[in-house]
Amino acid sequence: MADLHIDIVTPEKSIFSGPATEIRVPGWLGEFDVLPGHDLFLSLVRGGLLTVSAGGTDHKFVVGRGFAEAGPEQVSVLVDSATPIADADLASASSDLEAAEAVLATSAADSAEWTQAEEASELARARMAAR
Amino acid sequence: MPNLKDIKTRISSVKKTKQITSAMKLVAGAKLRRATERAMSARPYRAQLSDVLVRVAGNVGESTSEPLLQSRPDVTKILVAVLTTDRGLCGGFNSNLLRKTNPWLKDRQASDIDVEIAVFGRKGSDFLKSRGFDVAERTLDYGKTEKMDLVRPLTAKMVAGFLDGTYDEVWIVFNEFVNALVQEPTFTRVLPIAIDESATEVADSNQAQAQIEYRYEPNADGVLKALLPLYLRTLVLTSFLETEAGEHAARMTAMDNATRNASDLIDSLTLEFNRARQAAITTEITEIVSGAEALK
Repeated sequence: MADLHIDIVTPEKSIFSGPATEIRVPGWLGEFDVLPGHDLFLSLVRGGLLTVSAGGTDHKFVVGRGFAEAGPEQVSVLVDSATPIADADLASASSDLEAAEAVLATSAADSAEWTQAEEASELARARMAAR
Repeated sequence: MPNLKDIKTRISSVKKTKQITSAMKLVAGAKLRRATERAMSARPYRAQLSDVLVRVAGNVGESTSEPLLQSRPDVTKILVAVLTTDRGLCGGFNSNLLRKTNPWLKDRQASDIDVEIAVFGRKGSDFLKSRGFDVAERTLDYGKTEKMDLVRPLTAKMVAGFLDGTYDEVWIVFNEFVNALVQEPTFTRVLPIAIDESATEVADSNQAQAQIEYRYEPNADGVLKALLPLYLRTLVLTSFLETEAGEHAARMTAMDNATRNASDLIDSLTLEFNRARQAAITTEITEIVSGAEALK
């Protein structure tokens, strides 16, 4: 079966564009895989670890929130930020997570700080998972 | 008869000015290239986003009660973000924009609309202050700040103010970067969001696709709710990027002209200098010759 065409773009620039055999996206209700021939699907994306399998190797990215549009031949992922794990700052992940959780514990749910902290904690967890 | 020394001083001062303007032109050129690259690389995101938004909105249909899409019949208060530059020497870049902004704002005020102004850049701030506008918020020296760090709080303020009824409309005023020579003052209404207007070309080409049912996660309304703020943020980000590119383009053109003017000035001053020197030599020779004649 033909490859999927993957586009990963952030508001600043395009991070990845090319063919792949599989992509694993941290969806709103849980992680999902897309293989060629996938149904039309539009999901919000949480901060997390995104994996693109192309040519036998896995490219992993730490991505921020956004959304993904999947179809039989192509997947577009539009997220706030996307960093290849090679460039991500893995060392600071656990302290970032602690800071974010402190905010989560003290601020009201769904307030602006709370949402921001939740996003930060998702990113921190993704970086810890990548270690 | 102009003094030789005076002319010499002027020539050297014009030469120095020319060095400065041509250096500024080069710097602006380099910055322009970077700024246009940034503006270009922001395009795929925007294109994809408006593409998807049109389809989702098409699927959700007219019935949506999404507040960011609802226009209000009576507009009593609006928020206007004016994007200018901090530094001058960029030709008519700021003045073209502000000359159009002034009557635009006056029009709104004349029809009893309360206008809240958030201005970016010293030039716009000074201008609006001198015209007696009440500027609610000014952001100066913002050139070095990451664009996203400016855009995020601004859009958060727009959305919050719009939702709680503080603002009935939100506008953004900036110079659209058409090309390196042309920047077009643009007034864009960013809230309430007008999907069809802003994305008509996309809508046409995707009409067939718009009919296809998507599966949504968590659900269509939820997705639309999440997409709209993203779309707004992209609109705002784009205007900042265009302003930046336009500023450098305008400065480059202005400095190019200034450099050329300086060259012309140097040419004519040099000519004047040579004439004056020739006149001085002639006078001297005449004096020597007539002195020698007198001794005979």
